[in-house]
Amino acid sequence: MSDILKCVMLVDDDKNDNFFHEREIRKTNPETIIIVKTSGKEALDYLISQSYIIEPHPELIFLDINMPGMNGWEFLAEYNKMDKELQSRAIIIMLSTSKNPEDESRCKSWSFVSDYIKKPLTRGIMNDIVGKYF
Amino acid sequence: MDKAKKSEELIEANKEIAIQNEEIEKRAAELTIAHKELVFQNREKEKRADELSMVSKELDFQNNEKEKRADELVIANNELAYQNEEKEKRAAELVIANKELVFQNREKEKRADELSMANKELDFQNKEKGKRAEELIVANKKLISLNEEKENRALELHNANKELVFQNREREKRADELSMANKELDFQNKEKEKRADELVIANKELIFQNEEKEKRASELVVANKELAFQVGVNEVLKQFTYVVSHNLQEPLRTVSNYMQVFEEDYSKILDDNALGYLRLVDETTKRMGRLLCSLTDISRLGRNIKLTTVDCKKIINDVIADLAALIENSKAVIEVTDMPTLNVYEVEMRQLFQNLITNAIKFRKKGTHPEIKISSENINDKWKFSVSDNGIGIDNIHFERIFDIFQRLHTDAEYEGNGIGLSNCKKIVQLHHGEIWIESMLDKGSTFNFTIPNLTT
Repeated sequence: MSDILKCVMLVDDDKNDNFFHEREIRKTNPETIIIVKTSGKEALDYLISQSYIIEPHPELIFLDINMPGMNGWEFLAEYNKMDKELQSRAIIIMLSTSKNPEDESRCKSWSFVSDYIKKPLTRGIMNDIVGKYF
Repeated sequence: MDKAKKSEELIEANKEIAIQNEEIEKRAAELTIAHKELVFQNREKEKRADELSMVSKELDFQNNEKEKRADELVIANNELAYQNEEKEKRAAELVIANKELVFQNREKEKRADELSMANKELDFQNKEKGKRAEELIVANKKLISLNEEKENRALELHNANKELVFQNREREKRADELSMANKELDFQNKEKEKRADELVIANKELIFQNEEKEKRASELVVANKELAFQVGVNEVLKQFTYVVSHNLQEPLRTVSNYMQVFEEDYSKILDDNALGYLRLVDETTKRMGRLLCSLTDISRLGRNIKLTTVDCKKIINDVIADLAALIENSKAVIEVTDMPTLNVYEVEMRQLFQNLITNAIKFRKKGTHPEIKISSENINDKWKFSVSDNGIGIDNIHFERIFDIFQRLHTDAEYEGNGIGLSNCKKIVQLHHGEIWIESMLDKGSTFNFTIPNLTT
């Protein structure tokens, strides 16, 4: 753990999941800022509007796939169009209920998607992620 | 002949004469006696005797002569006898020759008669021919005149003939060519007739097959429509199952998450009863989660998956590694024989082995350790896999239904389960175009067999 995880973004339309995931993250990373967005569009807007503001820019984005409006895939397509410098500031991990191997392999086609995790996100998984990427 | 008789007669006469001579001498002696008595007479008689003596001498001479003559006659006689025999022989030969001559004579007479007849016939014919000759002479004259005409005609014909001969040769050549061509055509014709006959037969067969195929095709069309409908229904059902099971997972997970929050944040202020109930809710939720997982798995079978070449030994070893805790807790012993490398749907194949091994451990007899043997066997163009255990076994009346979904033989209290595992196994084997079946007896363990054919990727 080379550095403290400063900011995490949860992109999920399920409020219960967001509640539980936020709680799990806090169990091991109590200082981390957690930004919760309930749609892809909302998350994208935030990332663009915050692009020139120094703080807080998420270093880790958990992205759900099945969402009303802009879903996870559409978000990835838009995110890909963003400034490369902005892209490089965060790593994206898919967080989905889907156990479908198709979805998993589809994620791997995006180079900036680092991992694919099945819900629920637990403190154990969180520790693994922080240990692996930060 | 006469001479012979004559000589015989002479001989007889001679003998007679000799006898007579002796008689005469006796008479002479008597006469001498009588002479003495008859002196007178004697003298007379002496004169007579002298005369007689003279006669006697003459007679004696004559006698000698006659003896000589007789000897000569004997010789002559012998000669005559020989000649006679010769003549007799000759006569006999002559008799034979005579007969032959008589016969020849008769033949010649016959022949003469025939010749006479023939002669008459020839004579008649001769006369006829004479008549005919006269007629012919007349006809000949006419013919000579006609002949001259014909010679003229012949000359014309000869010329025409030459032309015809030439034309004939040309035509013969042509005819030969045509004959050759004809033979060729005839041969081809026969071949074509044969071929035509064969084709007629083949055609009939084809027509028959065609009809059969049309029937079959129409049957298949019907069956296909039915299948397409069923496949459609199946696909919709699969989709529905997938969506339902997947969507139900989310609220269930939320319940489960909040159970965790309760346990972590409120266990201190809840009594034992409340905690017991929460634990029950938690267990039930987890069971429902597993049920939905299985449903999701089953509904996803065969969707957009690819065949990959995989070492089945590796799949089994991976499954054994995944089930390490279960195997350790149950003290199960698993023996795996040689395994082939096959083209399979890897994820599904893994699930298949996992379900069968899990079942083999789960349905163990109380107080025993599971002994599991996993083996493979190459049969023709497919592989047969067997997973055997020493577990509780299954009555053969259940052999079919255990592969149906949601069919369970035991309560949760006995053996926990959701009735999906084996139906999933069956689906996976069918996905590989194989078969699955069980061999088992109650209390004697079970062997699950399934086949996987050689599939091409």
